[in-house]
Amino acid sequence: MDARAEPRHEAAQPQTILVVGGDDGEARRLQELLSAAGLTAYECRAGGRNGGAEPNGASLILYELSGPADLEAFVRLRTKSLHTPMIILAHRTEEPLAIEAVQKGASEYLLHEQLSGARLAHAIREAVKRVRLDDDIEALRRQLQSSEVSVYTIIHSTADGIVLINAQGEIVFVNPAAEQMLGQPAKELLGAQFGAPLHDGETRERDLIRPEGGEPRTIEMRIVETVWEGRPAFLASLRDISERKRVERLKDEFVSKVSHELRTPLTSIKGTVSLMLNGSLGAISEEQQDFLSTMSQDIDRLAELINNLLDFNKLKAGKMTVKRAQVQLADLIEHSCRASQAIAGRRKLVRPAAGAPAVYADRNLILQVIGNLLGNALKFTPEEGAVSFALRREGDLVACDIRDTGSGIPKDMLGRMFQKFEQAEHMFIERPKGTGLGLAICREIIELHGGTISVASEEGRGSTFTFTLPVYDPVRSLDRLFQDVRAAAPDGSVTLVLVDWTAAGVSGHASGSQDVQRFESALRQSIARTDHMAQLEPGLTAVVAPADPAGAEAMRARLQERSAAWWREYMKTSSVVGVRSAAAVCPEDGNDLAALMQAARRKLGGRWA
Amino acid sequence: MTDTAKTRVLIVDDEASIAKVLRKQLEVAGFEVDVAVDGEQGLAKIQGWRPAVVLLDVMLPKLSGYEVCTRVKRDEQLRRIPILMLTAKSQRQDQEAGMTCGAEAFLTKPFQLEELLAKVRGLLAAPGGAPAAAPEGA
Repeated sequence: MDARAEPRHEAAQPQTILVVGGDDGEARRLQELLSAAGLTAYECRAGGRNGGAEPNGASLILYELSGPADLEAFVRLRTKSLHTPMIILAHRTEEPLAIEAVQKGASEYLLHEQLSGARLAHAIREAVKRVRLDDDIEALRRQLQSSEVSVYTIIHSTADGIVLINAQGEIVFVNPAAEQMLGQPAKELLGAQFGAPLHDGETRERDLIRPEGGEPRTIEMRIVETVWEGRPAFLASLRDISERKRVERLKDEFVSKVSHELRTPLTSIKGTVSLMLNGSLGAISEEQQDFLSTMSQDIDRLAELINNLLDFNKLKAGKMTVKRAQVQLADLIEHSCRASQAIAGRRKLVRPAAGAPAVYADRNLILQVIGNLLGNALKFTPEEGAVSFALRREGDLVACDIRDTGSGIPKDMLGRMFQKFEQAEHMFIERPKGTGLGLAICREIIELHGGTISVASEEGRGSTFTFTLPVYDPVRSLDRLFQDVRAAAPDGSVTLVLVDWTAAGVSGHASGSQDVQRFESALRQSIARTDHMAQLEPGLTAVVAPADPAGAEAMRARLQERSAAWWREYMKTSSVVGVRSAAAVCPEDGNDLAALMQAARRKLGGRWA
Repeated sequence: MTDTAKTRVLIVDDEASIAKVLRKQLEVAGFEVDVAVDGEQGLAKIQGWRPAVVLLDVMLPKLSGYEVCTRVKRDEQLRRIPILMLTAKSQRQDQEAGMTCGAEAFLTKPFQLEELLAKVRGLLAAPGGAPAAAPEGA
């Protein structure tokens, strides 16, 4: 569409200049003037003044103006050939008429008295340039108009909702899809507060309840920074993902139900085999014993597969509840080694050296990872071999190595080791003893914690699996929690409650102990139905919740009306558990973690500094 | 097994096959066993028969396992009877719901005979019915 690319103005062929009102002699004279001035691309031709002066094909018209009648004819010709530049030639006595002609659309006028080749050539060049410029502008205008039309069409016909929000958080534009999703017409939405925190590049899901009722919809919202009428603004694109969510839910329910239905009969089968194996149902032969043992092992595998399917389903759906706390990896390794002693047989299990810092992780999930990796390592390690653990700090992470002296993993397999369920079939074939999901689950769990998992191997010399987990750091842990909650809070503000629940003289409740678990579930029941809870250290639990209208004070009040005696009663444990103090901070205390922490510390009386 | 002889264990499970196998396993281990097939019957037998331990399934007709457990734990006469919840779902949510309803221990189906017996003995050994067993998976 670039007018410059069109050959019309700069043709190799000489272009015609129509000399209107002049004879052939004058045309020749002008041609010579131009040639002398070096402008050779044009050929001058005489044209009759009226009617006969058909401008078709002419690149430019030189118009002889010698009286008022000529001016009228000029105007008629001008309307016929709007795109042809016209230069007036006149004598000095007709200068006022020439000026009028310029006002009526001529490019310029030249007086015969001052006419020179150079001047004429300059006037022609300028006139042609201007017409070309006008054409370009016209082309751009058309282009702009058509792209405006297509942008308009896109915005108005897309199924995605588009909302523009100004820096004050007010809605300044909505498209029809957004009106439909939000359930309100544009006239009500425009000027209203968007009501969601705006962070560039953020994608989040929100459940919308429509004012007119009906099924609540789940909207995926993506925010980008943009400019609206010259000012910074945010563009929110909304996508209705309700249907996808519904299908995901159905799938989850299905897997969960199937798994449940499978477990029940498996329990009685397993129980029956146990009864037969231990002779409770009568003496059995050695061969029967052998076959029943095989059966028992396969029942265990089936049970593990069901568990893995359920876990993997949950992990993939992001439904796994992660209860992070301060965890010593060495403790978990010790636990796993003891549990695997029977399978290990004569293989040596080498524990890690002491001294690695604690990590911030879900005890049970990490136990699952270690158990899985240890199980694999033992499976591939010969009787005389060893599986050794090592822990080392790497910046903000703790790395855990599990090294075996097995046969190693072929190079072409290494890259596929942690692949998800979709690719797991290969592993079914190559490692018929596994469920094909173990390592994929390990990876999901470790990544959920913000760590990584990898494998290095040399065929014939063994393999080393390494995973990393974040070092436990109360402030950092809380910060993470804070970020999670903030992202989920409708307006980005949060409430922080610190609970110091160790009664005087009672300490040393191990993280992950039953007391702590009981306490936390009770806490969950009584003050906040939230997963945003972390044990910061033994006896100090932080609850971070979206700032609800009732506010943090209500939460604090609810906590404190439960006396230590109530907790003791509720927990039904012999050990003393009591809430000594609870500090709640509200969004008004500040909306960044540092401010909240400071307020919380102040209210807790500096116990946690 | 003489130390557990005549110790009463009540199984509350509507799955006949599971109840049958559990009964046999526990009888072989020397317990006196009775079975209830729904929540209401379970509660009635806990009140009337006074077992030393209750194995309680979660998904029960008429009255759920959680409901039975909550009622037992609210009853001054019965609350000392330890309850071992049998769940078919994966541990977490169930354990949480179970802990707040006051159950002392959990077992996820399918479980090992040894695991079951260890938990039952642990519950019987703990003073005043307080839990001795660690949570599942820990």
